[in-house]
Amino acid sequence: MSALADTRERSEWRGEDVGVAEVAERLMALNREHARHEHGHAATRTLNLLVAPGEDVSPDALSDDLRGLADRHPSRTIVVREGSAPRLDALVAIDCTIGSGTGGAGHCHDMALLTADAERLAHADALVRPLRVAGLPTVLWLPGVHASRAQDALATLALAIVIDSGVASGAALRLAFARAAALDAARVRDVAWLRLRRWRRHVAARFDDPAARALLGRCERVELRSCASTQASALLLAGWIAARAGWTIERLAPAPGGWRGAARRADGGTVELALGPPEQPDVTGIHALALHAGGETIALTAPVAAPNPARAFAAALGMFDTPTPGYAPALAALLGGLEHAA
Amino acid sequence: MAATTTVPLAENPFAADVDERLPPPSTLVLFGATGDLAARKLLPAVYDLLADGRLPERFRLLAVVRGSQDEASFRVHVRQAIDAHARRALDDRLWDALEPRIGVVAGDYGSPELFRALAARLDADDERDGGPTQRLFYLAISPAFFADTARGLCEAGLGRGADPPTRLLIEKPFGRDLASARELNAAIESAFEERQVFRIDHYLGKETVQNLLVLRFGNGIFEPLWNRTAIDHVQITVAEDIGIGHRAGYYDRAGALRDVIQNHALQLLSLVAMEPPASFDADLVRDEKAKALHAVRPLDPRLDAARGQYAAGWLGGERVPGYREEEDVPADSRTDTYAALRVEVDNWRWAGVPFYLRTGKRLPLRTTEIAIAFRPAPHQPFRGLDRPPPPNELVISVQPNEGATLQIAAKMPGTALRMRPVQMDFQYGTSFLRESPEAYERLLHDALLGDATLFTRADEVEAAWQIVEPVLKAWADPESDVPEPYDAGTPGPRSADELLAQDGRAWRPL
Repeated sequence: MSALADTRERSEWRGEDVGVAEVAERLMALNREHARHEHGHAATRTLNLLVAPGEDVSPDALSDDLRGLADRHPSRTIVVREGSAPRLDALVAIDCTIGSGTGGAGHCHDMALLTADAERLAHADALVRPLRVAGLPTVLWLPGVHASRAQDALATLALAIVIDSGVASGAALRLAFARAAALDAARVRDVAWLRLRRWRRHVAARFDDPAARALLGRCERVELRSCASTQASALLLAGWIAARAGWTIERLAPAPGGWRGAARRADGGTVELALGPPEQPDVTGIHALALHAGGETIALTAPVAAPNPARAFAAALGMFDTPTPGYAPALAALLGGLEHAA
Repeated sequence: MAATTTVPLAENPFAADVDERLPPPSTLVLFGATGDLAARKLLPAVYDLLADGRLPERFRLLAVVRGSQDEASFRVHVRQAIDAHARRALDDRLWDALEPRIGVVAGDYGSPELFRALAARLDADDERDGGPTQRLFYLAISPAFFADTARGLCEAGLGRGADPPTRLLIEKPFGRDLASARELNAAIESAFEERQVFRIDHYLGKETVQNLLVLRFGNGIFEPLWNRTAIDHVQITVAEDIGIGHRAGYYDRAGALRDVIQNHALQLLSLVAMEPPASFDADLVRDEKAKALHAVRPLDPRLDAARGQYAAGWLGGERVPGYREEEDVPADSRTDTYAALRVEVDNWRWAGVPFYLRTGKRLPLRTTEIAIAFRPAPHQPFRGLDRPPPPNELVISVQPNEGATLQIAAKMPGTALRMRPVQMDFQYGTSFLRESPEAYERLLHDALLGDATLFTRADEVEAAWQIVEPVLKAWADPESDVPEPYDAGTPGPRSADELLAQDGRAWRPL
């Protein structure tokens, strides 16, 4: 067994005021050069990942996210950022992880970082078309809260659009949800929604029981306890339950320690919605859900499972072609309440 | 507020919005819970399922042990097994959730008392925990106890018609020949319905084996070529570099043909040879697999089989002993440690396409693969070639590097027309940079969900025994030749090479 740890290598090229054809040629040249070295790396690409960060996303933060992402989900990554100069600047690179141990295969992925002015960004599809790997599906990732100018043009190329409503908090969440709703809901994969995968399985399993389903029709209060960093997911869970139970959320607004609101059941009854902090301060994620009707309660605590926050994003990319049927109704239910509150 | 009566929603309104359903509340009852299989595979699989959030909220693990092991010491054993063998690191929070769900029932497998005590314990646990759980009985015990255990469970009300529902999970060997397999199936059938029985061949839980179905039926380009018109022959290899270790007691009675060919290799053959099922329904898939096995032409042991036994040799730079020098192996053992078959599938799709199956111990490397060798192009328009381009080959690697490779001919750069085989390579490890679940995780999860697609049905087991039966009988004849020796670290006996040479073919190099 080798004592070597995985090591990383990078080959790159930078150009200022360049054309896309030149960038494409440089990317190809880097790949040819890399193949000649015969490091035993496999070029690993299962999709084209377009990235259009908002202005609130720092280059360093994005760089960190991409580094971690490449290890979990190999892709040709094309990042499009806004620059102030009226030109196109580019950085193309191949990053390789050299496997440790005898026979440990290394893997590589390539990326292009394009910096362009606002006018070019409005036609960003023309920038990235020549750089995509033909035949692979294209996914667009929109990091940050603010929209990039490239967003609409790039969205025309994408099979799926990955966002994370969870980067917003407090009143800004309404904007994040509204932005998600403005995109084509069938193509949106919201990381905040995918973080709920285990919770949704948990809820679905609980309501296999007809007696539990009966309580939905007379529920008077829903309580959700979660830490501050998972507010978006907690709201989406509340929106999902309301939408699928046939309730209409009439108001929902930030309140001390969380959110408060109300929903109307199909029979006209009111369901109080209360989202608050967990009882124990060191708890992360969504901790507990309770539905009350008269003296009855259905209580669920967080599913027992290993925490792994990085997996939700990888899952979002991995599920780009998997429908998320509950998301749009959950979002619509939430926005109804949030708009009324606003 | 006045109480109102509400009619429950007929359907679960949340069910359609989840990518994967959780199994219903369940109790996994593990016979042989202190054995090697439980420690290396089953207990770690339970933990990994828990860590992945794939177990139901109400899940219990109940160990049936012989002797006087108590709950506390068994829990220590489980923790150690998880720590040593689980994919995921042992996490105290998860362990704290799992530990109180682990219980023990001790007794003698042959005693009705044990089964009555087990039934009472299951009912008591259900009542304490708030409702019934389905019960899965996993027999990780010697096959000699399968029939009696199944009967004991049935007599305690835990078999046919049980409420809450029950399932029986058993692992190969399912008999040691056709007659004993039929006898075992009949004994189990008297205690459990076939739909309750989940026979495990852990190869079917491997990612690449499942991918074989996706490769064949999820891609448009392969199925038109997947027949006698385009395919020359198929090779299925299950090669091991290890010897028999401390398993002489079992292995010397079994041999390579029983241990691997009758189950793993023929299961792989059935997946390669089967017709497309109408849907991925458990019984439809297994119907097609069984049909493929039933279509196998009866073997002529003289022409269609070869066997060998490893002698001392060099493997990986180490000198290793021969089979007859292994611990507890008789010095005059006639057991096959290598077996190869030439199999014909008599149907329209495969007429004239031989399937060559081989397995052996102490071979140069560990690999399991399916190689589909395509026919050469019917006409070569290229003049002046030193030799014709190599035929295309699709190699599906099951282990250790899960993936698939398609070999095609390509022109070498230069002014002369020269061709070389090049490989288009897909590896799970580099295309999907995440760990696949272990085979036992997948199979346990499927059993909890009641999905029998990846489990072997009684008729498949019997069909597979029927295929190898003539060879087993011929090899059991004391007048027959002894297995041909082959040096450890070499690819097998010469007679196995001759099996293909008589058809003008050769094994893929090991």
